[in-house]
Amino acid sequence: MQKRKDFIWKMGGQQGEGIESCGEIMATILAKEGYSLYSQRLFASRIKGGHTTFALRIALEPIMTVGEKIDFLVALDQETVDKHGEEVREGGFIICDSEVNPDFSKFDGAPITCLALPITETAMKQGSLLMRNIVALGMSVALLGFDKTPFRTAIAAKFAKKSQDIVDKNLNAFEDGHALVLASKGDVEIETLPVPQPKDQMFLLGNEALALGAIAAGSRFMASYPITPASEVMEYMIKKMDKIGATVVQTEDEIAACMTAMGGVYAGVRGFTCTSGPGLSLMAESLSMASMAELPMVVIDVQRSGPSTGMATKVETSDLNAACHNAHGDYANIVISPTSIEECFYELQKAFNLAEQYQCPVIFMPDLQQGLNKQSVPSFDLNRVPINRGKLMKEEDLPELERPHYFKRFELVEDGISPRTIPGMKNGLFLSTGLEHNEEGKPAEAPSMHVSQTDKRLRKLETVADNYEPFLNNAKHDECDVLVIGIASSRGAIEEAVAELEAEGHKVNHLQLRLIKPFPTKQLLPFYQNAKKVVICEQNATAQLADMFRINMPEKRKIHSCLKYDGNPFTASYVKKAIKEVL
Amino acid sequence: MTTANDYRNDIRPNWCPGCGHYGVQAAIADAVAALDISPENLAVISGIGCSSRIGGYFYTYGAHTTHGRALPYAQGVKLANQDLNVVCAGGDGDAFAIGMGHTIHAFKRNVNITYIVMDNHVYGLTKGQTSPRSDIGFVTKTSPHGSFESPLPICETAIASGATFVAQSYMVNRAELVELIKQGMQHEGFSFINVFSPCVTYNKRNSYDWFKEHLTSLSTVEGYDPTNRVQALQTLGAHEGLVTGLIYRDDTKPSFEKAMAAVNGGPHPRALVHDVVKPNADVFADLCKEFK
Repeated sequence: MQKRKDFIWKMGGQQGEGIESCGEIMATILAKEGYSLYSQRLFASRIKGGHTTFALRIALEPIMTVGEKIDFLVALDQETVDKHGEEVREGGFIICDSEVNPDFSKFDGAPITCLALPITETAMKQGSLLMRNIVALGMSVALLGFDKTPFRTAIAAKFAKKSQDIVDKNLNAFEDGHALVLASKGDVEIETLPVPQPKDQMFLLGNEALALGAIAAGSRFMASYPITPASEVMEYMIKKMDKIGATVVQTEDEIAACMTAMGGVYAGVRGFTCTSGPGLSLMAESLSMASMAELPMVVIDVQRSGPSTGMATKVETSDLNAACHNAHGDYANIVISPTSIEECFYELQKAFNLAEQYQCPVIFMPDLQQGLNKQSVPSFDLNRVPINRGKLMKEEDLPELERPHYFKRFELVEDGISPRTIPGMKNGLFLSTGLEHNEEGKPAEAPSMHVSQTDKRLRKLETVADNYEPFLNNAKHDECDVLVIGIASSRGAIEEAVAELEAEGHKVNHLQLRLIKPFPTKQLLPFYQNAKKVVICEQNATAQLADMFRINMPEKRKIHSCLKYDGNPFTASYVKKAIKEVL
Repeated sequence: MTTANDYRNDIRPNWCPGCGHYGVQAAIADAVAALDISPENLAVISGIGCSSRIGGYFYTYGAHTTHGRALPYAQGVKLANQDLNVVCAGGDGDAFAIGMGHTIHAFKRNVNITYIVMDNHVYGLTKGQTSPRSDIGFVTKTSPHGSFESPLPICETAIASGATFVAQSYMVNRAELVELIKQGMQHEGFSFINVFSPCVTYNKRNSYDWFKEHLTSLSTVEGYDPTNRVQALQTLGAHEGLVTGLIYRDDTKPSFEKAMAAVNGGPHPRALVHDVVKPNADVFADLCKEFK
């Protein structure tokens, strides 16, 4: 029997057929067993119905992409066979429900095994169409050569609340599916994965990691407006409201979401909102005020394809310019993008810290691929990122204040970051306004004051890149043939492509950028200078990230762009091809 | 004991001599002093417009925010720290034009804050344009042939939208206005007080004399019962909205905070602000366990 490093499993059909839950059961068990997992759900932007697939990559080493070639495709309809059959690798399997009389003629002579098996019929034998996914699960476990025991235990646990009868029927459905595959595969050899060491892992969405990150950062205040692909963050916060004592408001629109959270921030909590591109556009004016009033506001933008409504269920990283520049005036803010689902948890906590340390809005921007897909990650460490509230004053330390003087909330200090008070503090009274103001917050239009306060707001940000790891450093070489720079979810595809190129003898350095604004010019420079070529990978058509390099790097040089804007995530082969073209 | 004087700062309002807003400012100071609220425990939140400059005219925590968005901000302040007394104030353009989406939702949401609108039926800061409250036929720079849109019946809208405290006053009637603000601030839920506050510069039509002539005090309406929703709407209809006094109140509906506390195990107001801390380790472990 052959041993492999990973398996890629995919199931497809119509939305609402339990496809995702089949994959979820499998993933939950395998995560416990210690496998590294990455799942990808592709679905149409429809309310109900429409073609959907759930793919799961099961590996021994940590992975961050769903891979490219499928080992096993389980199809509940012909559409899945037609659309995804060609993704099946040599020696792979397609199993389709015999109910739909599948047409496999396309694969005549192809080195894959096509089986029409009675998925629906087997489920109906146990009394319900609902059990199709359990039949499919049994089939998949047989194909993948996993031990049945933990799956049987999980099925029993999942239906234990219903009745023993239901448990038994589901177990029968599972066993029947399993047996059907073994009986019909003929003499095709089944490959297996080695059994890994058990690991303490979690399997979750990036959006769930974001919510946990906010909670770990001490935030229990959220105002938000539903939007794909970000709603799960608010839904999770509301679901756990009683457990964590949070206040979560679903507001009337994104402007209200941003302003309500900002009101909370002004009052002293770690308020935040979560949205996607269209919502970020609506928040622009509010964020301009947050910059002027120096409010530590955190906005999460789970990026989707644009412009406008674009493709709401497809990935893109085309909000970079908007996040940096959508607010009017000389706008001071920080923009951060996490490089993984794990970083949705840890880096978001740092984003909350940076907001308070630098007293400005922070836009935290994962992409849809991270937000809506589940991955196995090492269990989260609650205490890795300590809370840092910057120059927030303690009430007891405030000097006596005498009317009509206010606390100098906008004091012109050297580093630009003034001490901060919040309402309720006895000697902390100040005025907050979107008007230009003096040190106490009183409206002030003197030319010198506007210059001083503008400089102060901009000066604050000069040290951000020194106090925050501005990129993930995957650079192994002092001098390299090519430096590849990516952002957000492109990391997985880039890492796989780089590993292959390195194996082929090329010297490839890789940086995955986290800090987009203020741009970490100083930190990037040595890597930039020691590379023969530079390739920047990003999911947009206008090369927004590459332009930031052109503007911010002192050295003018040729930048090659690897762009993708078809709505689908980067793959290793796509990135590799682009890099090879410049090598 | 707090006095109105404790709320004085040294900023001179940018309002014209004779502007009604001076009276509203004085009434707010009188009301918060009468309720003995100390300056550090009050937050006055405003939007943009002549009247919205009021956020900076008290010696307290004042926040002068963006046009039409003061209400969401004020609700955020209150929900983050329920110990604060939150007054939101602004003009009829801010409240009923650019901010109307938020105003309606504030009526229905019922967060425990007080919203005072200085209603002069005209845009002043931008020097004289028609407002959502302008009378039909009102001539301004943007309605040179007379405004032909219906003036928004705001008190009816408030009641219809679920507001639990709806009052209207005229800034000249200082004692009544102070009393209404006090009652509003003591009301457990959202209190809305629309105050006629004449603009002497850009609205020569709805002048001091005009309001004096056209307003009817609800105290003169026989058998008026502010808890009777139907009567409130009928009375407003009969007087084209030009009444003063407490129009409607509903003390049976819980505030947003109370309703939320019932589902989130609250109230945690103070803790939210002063306890930005890591969650309890066991609670966090439980949350993580669901993904294992």
